[in-house]
Formats: sequence, C-alpha cells, structure tokens
Amino acid sequence: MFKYFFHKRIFLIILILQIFFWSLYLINESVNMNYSRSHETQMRMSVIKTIGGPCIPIIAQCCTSRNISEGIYARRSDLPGGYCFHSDCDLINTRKLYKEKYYTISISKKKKG
Amino acid sequence: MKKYLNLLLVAVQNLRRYKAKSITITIPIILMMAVSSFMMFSRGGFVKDAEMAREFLPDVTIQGIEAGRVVKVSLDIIPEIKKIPHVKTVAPRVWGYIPLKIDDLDISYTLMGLELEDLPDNPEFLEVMEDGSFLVPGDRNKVVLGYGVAQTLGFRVGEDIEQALELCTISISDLKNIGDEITIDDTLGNHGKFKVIGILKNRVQVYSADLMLVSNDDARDFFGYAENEASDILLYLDENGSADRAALMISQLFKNTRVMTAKALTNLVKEAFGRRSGTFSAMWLILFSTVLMFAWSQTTHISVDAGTEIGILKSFGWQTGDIILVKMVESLLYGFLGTSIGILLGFVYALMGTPGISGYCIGCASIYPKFPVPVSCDADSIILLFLIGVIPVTLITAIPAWLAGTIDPDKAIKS
Repeated sequence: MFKYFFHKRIFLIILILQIFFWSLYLINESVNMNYSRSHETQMRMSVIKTIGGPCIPIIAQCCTSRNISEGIYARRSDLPGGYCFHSDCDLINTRKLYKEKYYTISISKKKKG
Repeated sequence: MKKYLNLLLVAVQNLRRYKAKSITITIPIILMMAVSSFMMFSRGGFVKDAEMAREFLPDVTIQGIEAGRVVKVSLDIIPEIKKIPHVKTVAPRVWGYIPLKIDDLDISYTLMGLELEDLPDNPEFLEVMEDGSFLVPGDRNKVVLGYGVAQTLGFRVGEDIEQALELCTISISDLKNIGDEITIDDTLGNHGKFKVIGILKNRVQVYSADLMLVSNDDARDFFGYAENEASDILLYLDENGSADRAALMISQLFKNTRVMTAKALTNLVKEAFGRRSGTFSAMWLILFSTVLMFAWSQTTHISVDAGTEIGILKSFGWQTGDIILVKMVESLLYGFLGTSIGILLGFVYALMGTPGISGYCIGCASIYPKFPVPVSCDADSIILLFLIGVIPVTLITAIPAWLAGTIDPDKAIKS
C-alpha cells in the first residue's frame, strides 16, 4: 500500500520537502542558535557580557531608544505626550492602546520610611 | 479503510489532472506562508538571543530617576551597594547618544564608556575584534568602533571596500586605518578626539553596529559628567537567584533609582522585538484574507468537465459525502503542499538575511548598513505555521466542497 503511495509524486515531494525542512530546522536549532556549538552565538554573547547588555541598534530613528531599559520613557522622546509614531515602535503604537503593563511588573516597589 | 485510501488517491489524481487550478491555488499559499515564516523566524532569532543573553547580562542595573524620567545616577551610592550580600562587582557605566552630521547624513551613534579596571572576565571577547585590539585598563583617548561606525567613518574594514566607499563618499586613498585619530564633534556641541585602536567584527553588528567604546573617564569628559556621576550602574552577584533580593534592597535603600534585574531586561527585549512586527502582521493579515478568498473562489468555480465527472461518479454510486471528502482532501493537500514549500522558502530567505526587505523585516529604521541577524525557528512556530496554513484553507473550501457534492447528477451530465 505504502509503495503505491510513494509512486504518487505529490507525496514524494511533500516528504522530501519535510525532510529538507526538518534537517534545516535541526541544524539551525542545535548548531546555529546553540551557545555551546555556535561560534557566532558565542561572539554575540561575548559582546553582551563585556559591555553589559546593549539594546539592538536597529531603532535608529528613535534617538533615545538604544537603551531598552529606558522603555516607555525613551519612546516619549522626553516631551510631554511626545509619543513616537514610528510605525515600528509598536510597543506603544499598537499594543493594546497605550497600555504600560510591563513596567508595573518589572520595577521593584519602594517602601516608605 | 481501503475506501478512504482510494478516495485519497482520487484526490491526488485530481490535483494532477487539474494542474492549472492546483498551481493557481498553491502559489498564493506558498507566498503567504513564506511571508509569515520569515517574519516569525527573524523575530524568533531576536527572542532566542534575548533568552540566551540573560545569563550574560549584569544581574542588576541601576538607573537614576528624576520626576519619573531617566537621568544620571550618583556614584555616592556605590559604597552602600557593596555592603549588600552577594555583590561581587559594581561597575558604573557612562554612555549616551552622539548625533553626528557626516556629509549630508544625519547619524546617531552610541558612545559607551566602560570601567576598564572592572571588565568581566571574558577571554572570548578578543575573538570579536575584526582588526586591532580592545581597550585595556589605563587606556585614555582611545576608541574601539563597531563595524557600522567604522564603515561610515571611512575606515578600511572587511573585504568590501567598495561598500565602505559608497557609505562615506571618499576615495580609496583617503580610507583610514587602525591607529588613525578621529575627531568627534556632535551636533549638541560635545567634542572629543580619539585614537582608533580596534574595530569589532561584522558578525556582532547586531549588538555593536553603532557602538563607539571608550573608557568611562573619556565618556565622562565627552558628555560633561561629573566625577561622581554615571549613566547607570551594573551589579554582578556571586550567587544566582539573589538578584531579586538585591534589587529590592537597593530600591528600598536609595531614593530616585530605577532597579532592574537581568530577567526584567530580558523580558523587555523579548517584548520589544517579539512583537515588533506590527506593520508586517497587518500586511500578512491582508494577504491571508486575500488567499482565503482566492481559494474560495477557485474551489467554488466548478468547470463543465468537473461537473460532468461528479455527475458520472454519483450515477456510479458515489455518495455526496464521498465527493465532499475528496474535495476536502484536495484542499488539505493544497494547504499542506503550499505551507511546506512556503515555510521552507521563508526559512531559507530568513537565513539569507531577508535581502531587499531586511529593514522592514526586523522592524527598524534603516540607516545602518546591513548586518546579519540571528534566525531561529522553534517547534511551536512551525506547528503554528502548519495550523494557520492548512486548517483555514481546508475549512474555507468546505462549502464549495459541499456545493460540488450536492450537484444533481442528471443536470450535471446534461450540462
């Protein structure tokens, strides 16, 4: 029965595609993105370790958002109500209408006195 | 069982017989899934990197806050911080943005000062140098440049000299070398003169493209910080798991500070980049609905030949359910084939660095030269992709399949 199935080209194509894809996946997951095996990953982490964790420098037009820890503040461009409307800064622009819930969890509360 | 296998084979046969229709439906599915997968895999790379970075980040980062805004932090708090249990190293860091005007380009770089005497033990860092050497304790007026900065400032880096020339609009004889001095006059009036002693590799541009690394004292001079001021203070602890306790103690001890653990920073990166695809998500949703509509219209339209064939099959004793099943299996195969090819193409495209649209793909403004971004696909993403690629296409063709199955055989044959 299975032999008959493999004579049908479409199953063979799907099978080959699946094997190829899962091989790529396994190589990527177990080699390229694995710290102990990937030299490139080790180099990236080495930069983070030495300079203490920068943000990814790809939000170039938001002049103050290089530091991810500045978060919401940075994206306001330090002006009252000065929201950044870059389409890509969707942490503010599109995430559930300007909610700031992540910051209420992350900041340690200060006790009075 | 044998009946269902036969129906499956008939469906496969139909895909071949109506080749034009199969291709017309499968290609949009491939396109849709390729877009979705390269977006998901590129995004996954940043998220995975952020997760891995957690153990290399400082355990606690302390910033100054004034009226709710991030400001300089006073170093007078360091002696008190050192008394907190498990604190191993306290490293102040002075850094800021330097807006520059080079030729007609408005560029913003990051000048980052490091406490060279207290750098974490990190022998692997030497390997990230493309050329030259890294800063050592006692270095003054020396700078290590990120690959992107070096290219734009006209340094001779990498093999691609032509690209460097394109970026900095100078002739090949004017290219600078390691050891040359650069003068930085930013548009805010800050001034500095540094000797370039090293350039970081292209491979680490994702974190260092815009970086200019100097000593803390140099950064302090450049930005006009006082001796006892820094941009933030990094804390390294000698015991895993005590970061939350230390962070809480610091926030209780000192007024006007913002204290963040490595976990909080990782979560911020994951939030920022994990969801940084608003534009693409919107575009993909439009594409997704278009493909579904297209699949609907293609499967609703039954040609005269196909109608006659269904009529004949029914007159031979095929049930309505059999016809519907065959049609549904056809749609399932379209979806599965299109999704498989689409994911594969998307994955390969992401591994190639999404040429042509990388600026949009990684969700950023694009003033920096292209640099390699990490790509990651986890099993969850793949399963999700197969679900969104196969199930909606199969479901949307259920009604056309039912319409085909309920054709009156007499009318179909006569037509």
